[in-house]
Amino acid sequence: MTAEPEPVPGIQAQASLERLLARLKQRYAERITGELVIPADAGRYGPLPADLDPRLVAALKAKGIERLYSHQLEAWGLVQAGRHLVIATPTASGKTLCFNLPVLDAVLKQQARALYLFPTKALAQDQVAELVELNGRGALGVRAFTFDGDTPSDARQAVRTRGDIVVSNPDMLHQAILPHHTKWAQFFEGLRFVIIDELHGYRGVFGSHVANVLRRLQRVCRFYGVRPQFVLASATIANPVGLAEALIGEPVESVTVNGAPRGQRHLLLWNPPVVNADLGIRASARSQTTRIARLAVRLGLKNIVFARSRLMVEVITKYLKDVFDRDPRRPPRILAYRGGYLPSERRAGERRLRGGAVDSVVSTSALELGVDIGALDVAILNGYPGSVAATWQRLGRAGRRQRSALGVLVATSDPLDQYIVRNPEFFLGAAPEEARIAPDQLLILMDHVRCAAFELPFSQVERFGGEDLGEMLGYLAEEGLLHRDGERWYWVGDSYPANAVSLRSVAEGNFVVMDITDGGSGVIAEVDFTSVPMTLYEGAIYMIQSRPYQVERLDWVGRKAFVRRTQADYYTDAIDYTRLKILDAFESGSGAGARPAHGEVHLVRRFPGYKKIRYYTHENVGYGDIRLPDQEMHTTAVWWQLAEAALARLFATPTEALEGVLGAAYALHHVAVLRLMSEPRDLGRAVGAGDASWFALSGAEGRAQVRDGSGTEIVGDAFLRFQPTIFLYDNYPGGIGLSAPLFDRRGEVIEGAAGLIGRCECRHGCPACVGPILAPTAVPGYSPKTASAKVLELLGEQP
Amino acid sequence: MSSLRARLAALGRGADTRAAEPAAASLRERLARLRLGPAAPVKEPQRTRCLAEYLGGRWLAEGVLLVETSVPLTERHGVCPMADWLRRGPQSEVLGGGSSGRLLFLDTETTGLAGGTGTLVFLCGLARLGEEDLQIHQYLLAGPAAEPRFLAALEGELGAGETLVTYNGLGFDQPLLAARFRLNGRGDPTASQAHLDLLSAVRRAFRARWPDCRLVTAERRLLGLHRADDISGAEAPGAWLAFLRQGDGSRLPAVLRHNRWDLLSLAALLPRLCEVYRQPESHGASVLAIARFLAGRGESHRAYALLACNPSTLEAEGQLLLARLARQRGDQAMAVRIWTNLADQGSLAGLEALAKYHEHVRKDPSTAAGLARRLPASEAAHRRLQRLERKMARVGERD
Repeated sequence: MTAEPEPVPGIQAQASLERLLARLKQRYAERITGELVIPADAGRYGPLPADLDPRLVAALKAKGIERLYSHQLEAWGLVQAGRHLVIATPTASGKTLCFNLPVLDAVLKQQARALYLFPTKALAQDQVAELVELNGRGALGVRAFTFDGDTPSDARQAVRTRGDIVVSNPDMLHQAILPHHTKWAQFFEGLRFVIIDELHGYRGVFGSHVANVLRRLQRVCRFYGVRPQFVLASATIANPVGLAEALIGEPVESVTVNGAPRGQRHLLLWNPPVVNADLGIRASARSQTTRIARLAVRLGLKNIVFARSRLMVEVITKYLKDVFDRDPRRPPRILAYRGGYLPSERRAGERRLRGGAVDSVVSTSALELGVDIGALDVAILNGYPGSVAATWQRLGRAGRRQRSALGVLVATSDPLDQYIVRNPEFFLGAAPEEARIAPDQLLILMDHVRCAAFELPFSQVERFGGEDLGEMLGYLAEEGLLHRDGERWYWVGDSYPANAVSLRSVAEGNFVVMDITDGGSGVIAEVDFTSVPMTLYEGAIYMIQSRPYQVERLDWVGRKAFVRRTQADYYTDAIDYTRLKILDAFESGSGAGARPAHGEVHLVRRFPGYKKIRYYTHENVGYGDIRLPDQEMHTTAVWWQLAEAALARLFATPTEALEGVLGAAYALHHVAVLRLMSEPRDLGRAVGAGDASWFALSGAEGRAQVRDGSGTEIVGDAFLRFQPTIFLYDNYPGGIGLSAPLFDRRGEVIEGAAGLIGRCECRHGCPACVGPILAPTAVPGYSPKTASAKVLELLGEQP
Repeated sequence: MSSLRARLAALGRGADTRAAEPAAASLRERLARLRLGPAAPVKEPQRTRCLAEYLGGRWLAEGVLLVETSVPLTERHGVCPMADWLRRGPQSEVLGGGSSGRLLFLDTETTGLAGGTGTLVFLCGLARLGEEDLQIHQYLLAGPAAEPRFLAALEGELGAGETLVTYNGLGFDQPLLAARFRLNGRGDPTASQAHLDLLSAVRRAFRARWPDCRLVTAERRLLGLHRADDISGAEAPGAWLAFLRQGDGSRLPAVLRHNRWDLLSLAALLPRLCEVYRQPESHGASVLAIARFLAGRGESHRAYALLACNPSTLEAEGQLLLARLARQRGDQAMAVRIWTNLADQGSLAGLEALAKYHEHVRKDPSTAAGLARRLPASEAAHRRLQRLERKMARVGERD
């Protein structure tokens, strides 16, 4: 924690790190578009609090801790004053002790009990290990247990009745603890603290669910006559207090000034070199990332590579393994880590990481959270993670424990990435994002009213969330789930509602991946519902630790995919057709050439086929069909309906008009993601008719195509009469509140998109502005780039 | 109301078509229910008064109905009268229950099988054996608001030093009752009560022999009872909800009868299972499982007797247990005979036991090593061989 001596190997790593930095800056000066040095900080300290239990003081001293960081002391004071508290200081600043101290103190002095919630099981296990260690140092006799899906049933009783500190996750609280709260009566009666770590992870759909789980927790606490104090800890986000208050529904104090010492931190923004100026094509981020990782490994620097998709994790792992793990007799030096692996495989990977056996780990955001992975020197981000907060969180994985560290953000050709590396001041000076939740999202709220009614009968005068509770209870009674008897509403359904509600998604049910090579039937992975249509269609190449499997059969109803080992030299990428239908406009604006609005839409997504892409050359080597049911969703969106007359005035042919519309949509989408400070996957984009009769997309040759509801290509220009519409939609059923702020800020977004295209260095359009185009068109005076700019002008026109 | 319903219906159009189809079906069902529902709910007092007469019970408190029944032991249950079953002598200690105190047979009917605080106990049936009859008390909850009074009435019956006898009560009825008491701010009277769960006794004896161990299976196979005209346990919640929602109590008598049959079966199964435990082989039960159970409870004498009487039916595991019990009794020769026999038939466990015997009891490392070499390679086997070689060397030195 504090005052621990610097590990000795640090000195050698320091020299290697400087060599790596010097080599990168010397060889690739033109690729480095921005550089930031965060100087080392000696830290600020204070003496251990006088009112700290002497047993705890002894335990800390046994661990070598004689003093605390200033923020740890500040947190101590606020907790003692009885406030709810959020601690928002950077990764590895000793946040854990901020909540462990007051909790252990209260356990020792008052036999208080505490509930710790971590977003994942792995984090919970780390946390218990740390508590057990401190506990052991001082022989404190505090009983800390994890309670998760892996806790054997015969151990559960002991956890419930004997645990002073129970470490769990929101899913267990939701499905196992709250619906059985009477078994936990003793625990609840003594509950003084609820600790919520990794607060910044509770945003979007997951955060909205968790806010409701906490409403249920507080309701159950009231039943047992307790009002626990909440202590939350967050990585740097713009609104820790706002998020904490939205999550627990009560006022929260904050501690944000870090008193921990830090090593020097070096950050490079890296743009791959242009390889085709005509098309604005740059070398791939992947090639740059693997190059930097190879250099780091050769210099003996442990590094972590973050990729944005599971597929990219597997591709980069393969490329690094091809270099470093060619000899099968030696222990592998490269490790892939991502969601979808079985827990046992992930735990084994974590152990190898902590043991220092891995030179390079390639991961998705799965390692962004605080899983203890030991000391690393270099973090390489293959592509912008989509938010400033996530970028710092990932960069923070290198250089723990006061060691110097290097971070490299390698831009892909995505507009967002290009915007960041070309405007380094935007990123380097940017405030981190706000984390948003929408706990009153109707579907989510109703899910939890159901669960809450199961846990305790609702009384007439209660409140739960922002909607009219009486109306919701009435609805559930009509559904036959509740019965009103006197002043209360009782659950009379024969189901267990929490089992039907997953906190991680709005759609339901994970798929398991079974390996049927050699007649086996072992489960080798689990894939969440929403990723299935894109990753497990029949014919797809599915990779685990960069070993390719081919999907032979997908059992949609049984939620199973059967795969077989393969030697394929290509990977697969799904094609996505999305159509939207406008149901209801909440608000609309006016414009001469285009009418903006936001409201409710119905979305139908089809995955008609996939592309086969060869390794290394990345050429398209074939297509396959996907046969899957259409995915449907009801959500909210912002849209612009373009007037046919205005388009006819501006463009010579419908195809040109459509290419302009598609390019404009592409630029708008990326700027909107940035302005809304959301994650790219939270917002979708589509171009089509407002009645879903047709939709447009960029075809294989980079030219616009129009297809009807069945997916058949429409030739001719009849479709233009049906008002081409650009949609930016909230990518979750029911929406999570992105559309209204986007509508309000549409002016900024249009302006930003026009700037993105106007300032792009390409000639005709490129992936960094209007999307990929394949060949420059021969039409004089026309390019997708100019067409998109014209459409954006049209959108910006005042009436 | 309609606005919320409409908003939810729109959102519920579903994230995938799989979810959408059943949703559409249930919408039809909902509409059907709205059209066919009763015109007006029956007035409360009249409805409850009728219920008491209809079910032959009396109101203990508002919303709590007690139905008392006496079943003469001369009445048949399965292939013979209750009295015949009971005459065989209930010796619950055979099954692992406490031997003291009276027995209280208990079975509940609930609104669901999922457990958790949202599952209500709406009927709690209790039965005690008298000289001439089985006395049954069934407590019916007429509405959820009456639960505190319902539980208060049950408190008078439970926790009085009797041993509870149930079928899956440890896993289901008891925890559920405990949750109900806790939820109503009361102590759980069953917490300190001795509890004999016949399901575990049946499972132990018949898990490997029967397709399942449900109560109906046990009744059919051990009592020869085939229930005619019974509702299934799964239909009970619907019957109660029909009464709760529409005042339609017409299916409640069937629920009460179902519950009474369960209690009668509990009372008959107990002596019958005691017989099974005394003579497992003649009832097709697993001799080994029961011998293990007895040995685990410290009754190695009875375990030994059981195994020694049935040598022909024993598989390798049973013979190993018999050898272990024989050794405990000091009969080394019998143990060695069994192990040798097993080892000759290719049993590795027999071989290993023999190796251990020669090493530790006979102090004969070379015979032990000869046996140990026939065991498959493993880390433990390797360590044993190394140890035996050291021992042989030492024996050599002494010579």
